[in-house]
Amino acid sequence: MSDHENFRNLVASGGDLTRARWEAVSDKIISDASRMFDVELTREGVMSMPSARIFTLSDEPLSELYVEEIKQLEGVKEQVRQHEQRVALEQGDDEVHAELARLSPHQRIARARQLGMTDQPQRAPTSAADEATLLRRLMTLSPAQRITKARAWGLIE
Amino acid sequence: MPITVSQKDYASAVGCCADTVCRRLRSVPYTGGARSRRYYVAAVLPTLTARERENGAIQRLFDAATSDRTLFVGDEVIPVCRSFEDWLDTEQKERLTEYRVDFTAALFEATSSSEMWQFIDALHLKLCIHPGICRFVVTGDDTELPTIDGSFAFAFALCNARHSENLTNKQEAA
Repeated sequence: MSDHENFRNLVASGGDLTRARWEAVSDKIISDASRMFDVELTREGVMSMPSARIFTLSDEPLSELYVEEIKQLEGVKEQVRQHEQRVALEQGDDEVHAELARLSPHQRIARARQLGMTDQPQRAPTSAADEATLLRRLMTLSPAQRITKARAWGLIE
Repeated sequence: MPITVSQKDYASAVGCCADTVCRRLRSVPYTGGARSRRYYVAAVLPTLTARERENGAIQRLFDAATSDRTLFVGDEVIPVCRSFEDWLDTEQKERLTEYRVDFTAALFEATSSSEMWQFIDALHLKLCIHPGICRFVVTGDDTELPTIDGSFAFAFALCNARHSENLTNKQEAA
């Protein structure tokens, strides 16, 4: 019997109160994770957190360690690290900026893409009128800028 | 930038002295500073004599010429393109026309609005001084000829369309 299954059985056989505590704590942790770190947790993931289990099966209040535990979850670690770096960059943290500045230009842009900080290319215009508007706007730019903008606007790949 | 040569390139490719080069290129349009003039290959080709052409000067000119491999073919090049086209022989003109037809079809595929079509005449003219196309039209050598597809046609049009060269409207106004 796996560890998770064991816990699930305990919750199922533990009566309404245990079930309610489990649902409450997993909802709270999932919403906190998405608010604080911008990550999507599953109930399956919450199940492997000791503090959530202890809260469900005992009368103890939720341990403050749960935030640390979220960060340690498999598959979340990298997302959390990226999120923290993104926040640090946006707040102008000197150390993170220095770290980024040490990279070569192409590594820097690759890093920014990983962090999701570059503007995503927009979808290509769907109607002829939209395309005409974009093209008219492009024509006001210098030839060198046109290609860059056209790419950003999804007119060319 | 289109494909260009210096006076020195011209002298060694054609095999004539500096004075002759100066005399021949006096009225040929160039880019760059007065001391580092770069002449459009398309503009210097018509200055060659029949004998020089037979001796392979054209090939040597193309070999000596340089280009920065961008799609942008330069400012104020319409007159250069016009006189270049007039200089072409029938076979060369056919190659150019064929390429233009493919270009037009590809541009049609690539765009859904009619916005770029007002520039099509200028674009057709400018095609002939794109380095790879110029070489292909003149010599038939298609090693550097850009493959015509929607993205090339669209990018070329985008780089080289200019409102001041909207030839269609000018003709209507005249």
